[in-house]
Amino acid sequence: MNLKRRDFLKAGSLGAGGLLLTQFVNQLEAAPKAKPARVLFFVQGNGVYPRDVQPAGIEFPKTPSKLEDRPLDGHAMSLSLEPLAPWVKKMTMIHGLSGRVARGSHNMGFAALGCWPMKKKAYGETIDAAMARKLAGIYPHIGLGVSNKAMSMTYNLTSMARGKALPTLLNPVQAYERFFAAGAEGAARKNFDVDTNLLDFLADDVKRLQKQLDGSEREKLGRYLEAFESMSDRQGKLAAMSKQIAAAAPKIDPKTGQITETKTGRTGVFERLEAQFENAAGAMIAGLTNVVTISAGAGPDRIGISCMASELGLKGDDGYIGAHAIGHGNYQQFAGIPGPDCHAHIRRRCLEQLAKFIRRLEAVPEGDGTMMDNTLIVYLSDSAEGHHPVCHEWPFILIGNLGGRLKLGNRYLRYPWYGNKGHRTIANLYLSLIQAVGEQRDTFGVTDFGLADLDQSGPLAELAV
Amino acid sequence: MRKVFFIFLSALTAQAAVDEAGFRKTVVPFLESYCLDCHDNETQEGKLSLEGIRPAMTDGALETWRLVQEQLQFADMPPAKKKQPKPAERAAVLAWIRGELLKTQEPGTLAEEKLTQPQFGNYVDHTALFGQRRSHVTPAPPRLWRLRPAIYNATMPRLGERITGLANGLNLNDGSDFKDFSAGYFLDEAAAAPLLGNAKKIAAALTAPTSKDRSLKALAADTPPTAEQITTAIETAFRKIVGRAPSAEEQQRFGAFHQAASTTGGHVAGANALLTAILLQPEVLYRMELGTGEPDEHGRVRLSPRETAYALSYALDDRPVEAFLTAAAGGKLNTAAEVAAAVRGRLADASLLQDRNPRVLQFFREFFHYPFAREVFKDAPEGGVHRPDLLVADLETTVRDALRADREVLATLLTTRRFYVNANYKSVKNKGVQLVQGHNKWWPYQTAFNLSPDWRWNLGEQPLEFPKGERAGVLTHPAWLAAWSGNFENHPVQRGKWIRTHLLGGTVPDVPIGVDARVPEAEQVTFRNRLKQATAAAECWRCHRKMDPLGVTFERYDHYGRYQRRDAGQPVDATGWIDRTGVKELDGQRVNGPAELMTVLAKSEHVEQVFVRHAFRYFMGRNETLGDTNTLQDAHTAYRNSGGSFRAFVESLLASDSFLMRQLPQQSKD
Repeated sequence: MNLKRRDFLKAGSLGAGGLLLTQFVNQLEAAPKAKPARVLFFVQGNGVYPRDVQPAGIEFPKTPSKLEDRPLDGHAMSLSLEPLAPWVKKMTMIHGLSGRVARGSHNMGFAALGCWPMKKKAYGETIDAAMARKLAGIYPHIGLGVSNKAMSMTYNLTSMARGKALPTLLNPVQAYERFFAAGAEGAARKNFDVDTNLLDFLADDVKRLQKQLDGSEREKLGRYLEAFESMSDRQGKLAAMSKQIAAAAPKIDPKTGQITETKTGRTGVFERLEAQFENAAGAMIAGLTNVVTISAGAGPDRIGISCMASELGLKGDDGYIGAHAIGHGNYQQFAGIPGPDCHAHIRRRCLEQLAKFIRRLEAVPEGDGTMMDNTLIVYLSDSAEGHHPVCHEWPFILIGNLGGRLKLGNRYLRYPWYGNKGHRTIANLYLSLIQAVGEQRDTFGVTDFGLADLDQSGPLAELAV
Repeated sequence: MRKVFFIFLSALTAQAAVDEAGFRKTVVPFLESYCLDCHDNETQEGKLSLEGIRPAMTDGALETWRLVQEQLQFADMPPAKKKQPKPAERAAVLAWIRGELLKTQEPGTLAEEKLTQPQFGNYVDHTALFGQRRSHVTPAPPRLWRLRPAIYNATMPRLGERITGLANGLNLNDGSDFKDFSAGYFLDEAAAAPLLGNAKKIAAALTAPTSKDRSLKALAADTPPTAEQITTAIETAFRKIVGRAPSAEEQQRFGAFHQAASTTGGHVAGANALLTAILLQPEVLYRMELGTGEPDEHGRVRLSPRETAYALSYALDDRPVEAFLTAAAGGKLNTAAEVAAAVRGRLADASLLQDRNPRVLQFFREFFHYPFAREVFKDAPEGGVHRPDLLVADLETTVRDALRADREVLATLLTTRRFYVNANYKSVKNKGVQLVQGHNKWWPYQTAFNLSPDWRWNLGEQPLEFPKGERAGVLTHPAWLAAWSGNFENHPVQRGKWIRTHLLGGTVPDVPIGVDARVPEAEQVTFRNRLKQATAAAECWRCHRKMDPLGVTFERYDHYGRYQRRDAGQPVDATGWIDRTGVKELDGQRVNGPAELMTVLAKSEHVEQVFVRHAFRYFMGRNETLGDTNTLQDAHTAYRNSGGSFRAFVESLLASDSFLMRQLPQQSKD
């Protein structure tokens, strides 16, 4: 089947689009139509080091020339991945995908999910925005994240089209207030209703001014008007589902809303991250959204997460562990921990929060199983394989299989090295994702000119069901 | 669901008809005789086909026509081996192209949306802008200009009793271009949601028991407010937040809203909703520059005195300037002369910090973009430290001096050899602002300036005068050099591009998508020669020839900005040349090193004009059009006649018709 399918894909890229389409239509018809689909993108700032996540007992040759495809279970998880060990049967680790076209320093920003030169910023539609478009929820896309900066939002990861960046909310309390107010009771619920009055009044108000304007200025105000109209429209929908929102609303510690920039005391960054995962789970369970992007280390610094050593749960010396410093500190110790180990501990702490998210979704029945069965988690770094990445190898860890839409779970895949026959890019993985939710397309982002000799189109054949 | 995106172009297409007859008669035969042999659909030499090119300069054809123009103007094409057109033929085609390009540069016309962005300002024909004067200025149409974050952040917390923790809902574009352009920003849902959150916070503070404002507090007292209290509160809130009294219609409408919201959620929620609604008025979040009164004979209206006061305030500061508001209220901002007088008064600033009008210093920050040095990560050099924050502060001290002296400001900034080393103006307790020596724990910071590790800081020697040939102006300061460098190496391409665009008024197309140009690694080979290997290929050189010959002069410095004699063990070649400007005094000049380059540029009137154009963009918040010809020329004259006073120049700009008037639609053609 796989081989046959690969032939089809090849034919498709040569212009036999009709054949390809039939193949997908058949596939879609075969799949149960009503099955929900949800995706959580978890973007780790500043590198997921390939060797650091490598399971014990699987060799890691330098520049492999052949595809490796084997089961993942039976191999002990590395320190940073241990929190995900209970889900090894649902886990797929993919090594060897390149993303050279995105290449930048410290982070690729939008390009990590978009596959284009990093400096182009919000150059087009990123994969999470594309998935959100296909899996439209009341909130098509929710962007949440944490940063060491005392900011409440940033725009650096997701974009729905060129120049149309979507926000990442960095304050869990503000995010909570934004998404769960309709489920509140008493005064909070009254305030929600007053908001509905307010949004209608404002829409009406903007319309009045708009009448006095022409052309581009009228259009400019049109966006403001649309904002209020769409928020007002959503208020109606939210009001109708207030009970399920109330039932799914997480408990967020108000303290996580106070973000201070400190290098001497607790940064609270992991508590914030935990709260953001709670918000994400709550929003999905309440049925508010199907696509969430969580960013650990977002913000203008964009060099990942910094914290105090004690926040990593380590005993011994305490002190500040700066993300940039450890990126350069291969041979240094930070609060008694070697630089590379700091990275692993930070990622571990982040993945502990992700594990709680998975448990939350597993606790909610859906169809014959749980919500998690219809959910896919995509874990990657915005900085590929390192602090100053070259993007030859961009590790991905996937959990779940999107309700059976992809052949994922208990797999270790490593693609042939950059430039070798059979080599694939992160764009191919993204094509697998977007095709799995029914979008027929064969390219994503900008192709890598360095791979001009290879066919860069189509999804990863190995993931097709 | 409603349409999410809007089209910018709809309002901007009042373009004069394309000269198709001229195209068929002059251009098509020329293309067929001299170009299509190589540039037809079949051959597509250099991936360019001119077969079937449309005469209209829109939708992508603009760039192709500009490329053709440049190739013909500088005789790059047809290649020397091929049949050459007669000079008259060449000139006729160039005249047609220029004529068509000029049409896209008239006010009220726009070939492409991107031309509203600051990095495309140079697309407007320089010779035309500084050539024949026009009968009058044709300003921009009435416009809304979203507040920049600095204004929002300066004004909103004050309204809300110094409230903190407001969300940042107003984005600023990344990049090295002027930040605050009116065309670049709008409020959409992503922005409106956090602004709504902020407005609620501020409203709650205004009605809280701790509020200093009795009439607003009364709205949320234990008992519901009386009708009279509501009227008073609306009046107060409008004055406080919008900056004017509400109209009778607004009184009525906001009163009714307050009533409705109170019925839904009780009078406290109603009070907060009322104030939230006022805080989110477009008039609060956008600068309104609509103009008022009867249009003049050219269809132009003047900004209202109140609009003028705000426009002037935000041109010079991040908050409303009381003096301008008072002048407006007192009828003292009604004429250009009155505006000029008010601006002159405001610009007078003898302070060391030159911080009375923060937007003035900010212009130089954004123009030279040197603060970006802080964003370029570098490891410490061997035996030294890299402290970009100190470098930026040091350079800024020199800029402040130049602004205070206000004589030949541009030439000074392009050529000065007097720089501070870890010495800045700071406020000292009980002594006011003084030059203060930075902490010596930053030793050996001075090595960034090639000062020896033994060198001792002495305030009396500051600013230091560096040897001739070693440093000359902002572009040779380590802060600028670091800002325009990579993590590990120099960046001659970006530096050259900066000079090409910011001083020579040229244009450089975007890097073609998919190009992953990397300078090859090689020990023993100078960076200059490695760059040459990367950009020498014909398809690269077509654009790099505009940048590299200028940028390589800065190979005189390493990427930390330290003067260097050798690179990769070889003597540094810092020679360069200026060409392709179309300016006689500049084209063909060869220079030996950056100091010589800067001296040549600083003497050029053309460079001064290009600087004038950039400053125009910054203070107007938009690109110039041919309709601004007179404004640019007047501002340049004001600068020249005042001995290079930046203040005289800004005064001229802010009192110009481009700044004070708005062109009503459908009447822009005369």
